[in-house]
Amino acid sequence: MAIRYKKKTSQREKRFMMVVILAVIIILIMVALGFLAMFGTAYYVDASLDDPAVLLHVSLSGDDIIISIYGGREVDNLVQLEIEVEGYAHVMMDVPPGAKEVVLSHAAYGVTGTRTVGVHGIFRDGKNVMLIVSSIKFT
Amino acid sequence: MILFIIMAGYLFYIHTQPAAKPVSDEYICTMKEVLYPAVDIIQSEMDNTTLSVWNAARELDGVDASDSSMNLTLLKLRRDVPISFEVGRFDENDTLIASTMKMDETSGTAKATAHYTEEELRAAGANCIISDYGQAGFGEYGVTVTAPIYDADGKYNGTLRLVINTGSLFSGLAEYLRYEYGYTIWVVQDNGLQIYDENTEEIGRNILIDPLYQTASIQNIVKNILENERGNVSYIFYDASWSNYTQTNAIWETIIPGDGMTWRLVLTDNTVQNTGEKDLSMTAEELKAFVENAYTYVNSVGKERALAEFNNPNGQFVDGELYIFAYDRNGTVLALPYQLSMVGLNRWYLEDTSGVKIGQRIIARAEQGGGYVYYLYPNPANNYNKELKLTYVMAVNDEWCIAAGIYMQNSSIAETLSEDWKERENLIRQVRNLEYLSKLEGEASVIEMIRDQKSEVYIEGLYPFAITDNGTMLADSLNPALEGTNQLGLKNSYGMSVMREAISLAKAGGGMMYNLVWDPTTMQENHVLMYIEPAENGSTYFGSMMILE
Repeated sequence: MAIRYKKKTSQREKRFMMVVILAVIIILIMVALGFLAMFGTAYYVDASLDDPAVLLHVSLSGDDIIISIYGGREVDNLVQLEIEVEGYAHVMMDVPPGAKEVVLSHAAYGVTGTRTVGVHGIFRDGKNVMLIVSSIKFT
Repeated sequence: MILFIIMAGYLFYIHTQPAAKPVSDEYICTMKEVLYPAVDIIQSEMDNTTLSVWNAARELDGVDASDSSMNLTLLKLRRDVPISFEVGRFDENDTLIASTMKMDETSGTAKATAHYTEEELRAAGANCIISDYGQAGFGEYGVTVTAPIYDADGKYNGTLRLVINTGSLFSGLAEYLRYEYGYTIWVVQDNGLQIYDENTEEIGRNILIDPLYQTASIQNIVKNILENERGNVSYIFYDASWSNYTQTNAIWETIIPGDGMTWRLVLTDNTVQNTGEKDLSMTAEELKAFVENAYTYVNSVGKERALAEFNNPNGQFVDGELYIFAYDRNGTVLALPYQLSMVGLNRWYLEDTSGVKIGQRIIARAEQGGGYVYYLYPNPANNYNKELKLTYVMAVNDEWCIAAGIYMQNSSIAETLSEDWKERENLIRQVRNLEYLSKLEGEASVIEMIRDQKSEVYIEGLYPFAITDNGTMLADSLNPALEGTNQLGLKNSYGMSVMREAISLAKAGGGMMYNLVWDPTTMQENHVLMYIEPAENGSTYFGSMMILE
């Protein structure tokens, strides 16, 4: 009867295999992170917009930007709004308890064209959540 | 058996339709006294228009396409015909080579929508050819007036074409006749195509073949009108509410707008009697709350369910004459509970009788997020007279918007507009003159003219202004103190961004809009009708305002 001997694997070969496997795992992780960055964030934002913690509406009146508040499951915990107008510095506004509207006076001063306006809600527990993204035609 | 049932049903139907009752000769004479001056007004307007086009074409004979005087001639013609949309110079292959519209990289390939042979143009003699009503290449609906152009050797060299806004041509007169006499008008080409009706849904339909008019009695009337240059007839048809049949007494006369076309102008007496329904009394704030309620509803149930509810005439968002309606950003109707047949139709070019583009103003407001907007609209509680409607708009997202409106309970504004329809033409003429003069003499010169009440641009009762695309007021004849200041922040008591909206309108090519502005001479806000257009440099806008009260 022939005895089969298992070929002995050298240490060098073992190390080589481990490096290859590690490299493959790292590549897979990078690819997964890339997908997450491309689609996962969007999913997170979309999910939050579909079921907003606070229902908002953005409109323009002269040079004022008006954020109207229409309730939502987390509205009682909303303490601040952070407004981003594309191409301009962010503006923070406190939200008084029970407020139905926050007016950013002169926030649109000199703003022209069509720009994206994003509004984040900052909550009592420190969470910062994008609540609404609107395209506003300033002129 | 089945045939018997069908016959019995048909006989029952025709015998239960009311028959038209004869009217007295005296009644017809009374209508004729109103019809004939109306016909003269339209005939005169068309004669002046075709003469202006013809004369402008003669100015362009022998003028090279690259000559700068070509644009001046086109601008002057557009100024002289305030009921026009745009003017274009086409070569002998019907290709657009110059226009009062901004020419871009696609304009050099744009073709005229109707082709006329040189023989047809010469056969028209010293007359312009009038096209069928239809959609022009730039999207608006109207009729085109065409005159030939020849080179220095007398050889055919293309055409000059001007597109008329038939709404503007007839609506002012129509409103005047309604307010003054209780009559309405509709106008039809000799081939059956309706080119004007107070009910805009009927414009563009051919009354010979459209299903809406396919009863034996209506077709007899239609043929009578089309085959005879003048006459009178009585018939049974829908009233303005489209829910009841009523007797209509009509008389008509013929207008010859130009070569190749005749129009029948039909005067009718079928204004709807007051329905007696109470006008809804609601404040602007209550109106806003009504729309906001619909906004939260959309966000709780989603678009499909919300639209279904908005389109339900018995639903929670319909309260008499107050109802939620919805448009997408292209002007397609998504919800209109009392006119469900319009859902899915595009109303981008719908105009009120002052020339304000209703759908575009609503969408422009939605593009700012939302707010109030004005336009004229038929009020069912007041004989379907056109009244100023205050509408609150909210953008649901970047794709669609919702709105609802209330009538201003101030019929004096609509009556003012019906009496001053010639003033509206002056408003347009004045602004286009500013544009023409800025090309001829320079912008600085025109700015000075706006400031000078003794200048050639001054027309009593109109207040011209000039503003840059970043909101700097260059000249303001109503409020000179605003000159040199930035007016993007200007808003009225309804929060409407007066100048932002005006600049947006001008950037889109210009047009009419209503607004509420502060008048420093009376120390109060006044409703105004504003017309604005871009100057040739594209970054300055010329406009003018007419105070409505």
